[in-house]
Amino acid sequence: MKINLKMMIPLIIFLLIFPTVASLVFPNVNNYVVLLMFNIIMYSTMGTAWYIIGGLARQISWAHAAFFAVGAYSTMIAYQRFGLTPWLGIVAGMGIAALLALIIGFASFKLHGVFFSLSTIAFGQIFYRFLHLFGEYTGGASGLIMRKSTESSFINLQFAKNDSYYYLLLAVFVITYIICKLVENSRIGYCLKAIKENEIAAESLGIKPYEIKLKAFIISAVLTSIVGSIFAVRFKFIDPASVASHDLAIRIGMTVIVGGLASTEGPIIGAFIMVPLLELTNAFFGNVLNGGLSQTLYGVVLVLIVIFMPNGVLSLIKSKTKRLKYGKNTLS
Amino acid sequence: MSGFIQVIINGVLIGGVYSLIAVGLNLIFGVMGIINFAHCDFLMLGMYFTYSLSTLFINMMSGAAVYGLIIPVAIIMFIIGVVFYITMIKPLIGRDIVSYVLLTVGLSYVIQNIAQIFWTASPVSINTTIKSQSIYLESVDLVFPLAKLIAFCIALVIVFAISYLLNKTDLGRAIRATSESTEVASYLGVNPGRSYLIAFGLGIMFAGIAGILLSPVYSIYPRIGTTFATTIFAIVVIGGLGQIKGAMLAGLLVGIVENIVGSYFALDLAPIAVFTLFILVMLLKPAGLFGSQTRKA
Repeated sequence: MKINLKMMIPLIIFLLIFPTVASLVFPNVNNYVVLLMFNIIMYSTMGTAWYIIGGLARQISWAHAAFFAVGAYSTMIAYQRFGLTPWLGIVAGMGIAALLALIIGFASFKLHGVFFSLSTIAFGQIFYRFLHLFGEYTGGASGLIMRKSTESSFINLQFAKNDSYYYLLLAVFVITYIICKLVENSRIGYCLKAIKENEIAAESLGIKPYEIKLKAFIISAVLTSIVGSIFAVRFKFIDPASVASHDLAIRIGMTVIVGGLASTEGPIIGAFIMVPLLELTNAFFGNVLNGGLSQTLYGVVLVLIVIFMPNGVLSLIKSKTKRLKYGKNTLS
Repeated sequence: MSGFIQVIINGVLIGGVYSLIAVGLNLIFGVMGIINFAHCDFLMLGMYFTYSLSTLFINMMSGAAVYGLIIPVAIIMFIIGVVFYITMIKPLIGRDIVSYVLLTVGLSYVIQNIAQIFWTASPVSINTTIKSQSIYLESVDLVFPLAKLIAFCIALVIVFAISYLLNKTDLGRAIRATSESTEVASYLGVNPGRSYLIAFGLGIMFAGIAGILLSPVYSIYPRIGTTFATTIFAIVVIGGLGQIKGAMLAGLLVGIVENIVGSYFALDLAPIAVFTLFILVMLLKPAGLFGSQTRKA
């Protein structure tokens, strides 16, 4: 199987040298700039994972915050409560996320379209409440704090420099992207695309939509949980509102929809637009008009994107390049 | 025993208002097939309009006068709904369902934060004597909080009125026909655009009225809508799409379930119970607990 990573190599090189360049170009604010890029990569990775089920099969899931939270909490609890290495937490998180995806998917994939989406909202909410209910382990609404280690240790994923977490996340991003591409070009990927076009027709060709969707959902969930684990070791604080909320679930899906649901570049473009947009509006208008203006602008941009770019920002870029290549008439 | 009945009564009273919000969402969901993620933010707007109008006419606001604002607020909300429909929803008709998600989520941010611009993020509450009053029936040892009781009664009246409108008038028949099949309805001379417009306007108006009814009960802040949003989705599906009576009964049911679980087990278990019920209904009775026809999609 051949995967075309050509488009990705410049991006990955750019992301690799980014912290170094940032420290040269913005010596005073380089931490902030790298953090911003960290968030962009985080949303790109989650978006890419989400794309496996939301883009390839067009099953719009609003449960992905739960998988993110599973990764974050597993890592945090393993390290903080049981003194285990976060690596074990990551693995445990992946296992639990797979199990959770199996449960959620088992019920939700019996439903279609909007009802599937609503069902994932319900599961997301149930999971969110469970985090509060088992406050003994999860710290309830006040969350969990990871103690800062004095020495850097790869085994304990404790680094003195925040840049190290950046590279760790970048590695996860590249792995996620490659897995996404592998899935897309595998039998599962083709089946998912067939399901997206017409589930009944796909079924008549011998595809088992239920099983295929479930598999894709599990892969997507496991990848999302890894990002959650990285989030926990990087920020050292998690609570249900920051890692398991309905808001986060919406944001993950929205990033991909804004970028475009039609290709694996969609989530990345979406993240490169949405994360800086929120940061910029917050930075410039954060304190203007009772703090309401920044998010208003954010919402307005969303509305404008959906009205004027029905298939995401990616479609705009693609149609422009197509027009350049083949002339205007191909765009009908 | 009277404790248990009291819990049921509390559930029914709040359930009545849930019903009203759910009926509005059901209209939009049933007729246009879109999930309106911003629905409960319109409820929040209704609450703030009530708050602002009540501070304007501070002397009027003794006792039950706050309910006199229903008509002006309802009219404002209907107009807002129509304006939103024409400027934003209409250009998207015929698009993928994903477009509506993005649109309504974006709208939800916009509405919440515009509210924050005008009224700040700190909670406010309406200054009316009604919120502390309640009716106590000594013979059966039951308490009826007055604000909730009035909210319940008004919600019930409106739900019956809309039910009448949908079932007995030409306009209602046109709306129902559009919700069953836009294409066939348009062959039969129904203007689907008009049905959409009215359904959307009415849906938003009901959210606004629910906002008035709840404003003496809760304190008001820009994100209050999000506390209701997912529960209302659950009610709409439990009741069955396009089922006004279903949405009403489901609203009451959810109110009761929430209160029983919340009072006897744990407060955090209440939403879990509601959403579990929601998932079970979707899986076992896809047409909704009170629906008769089979569900589309």
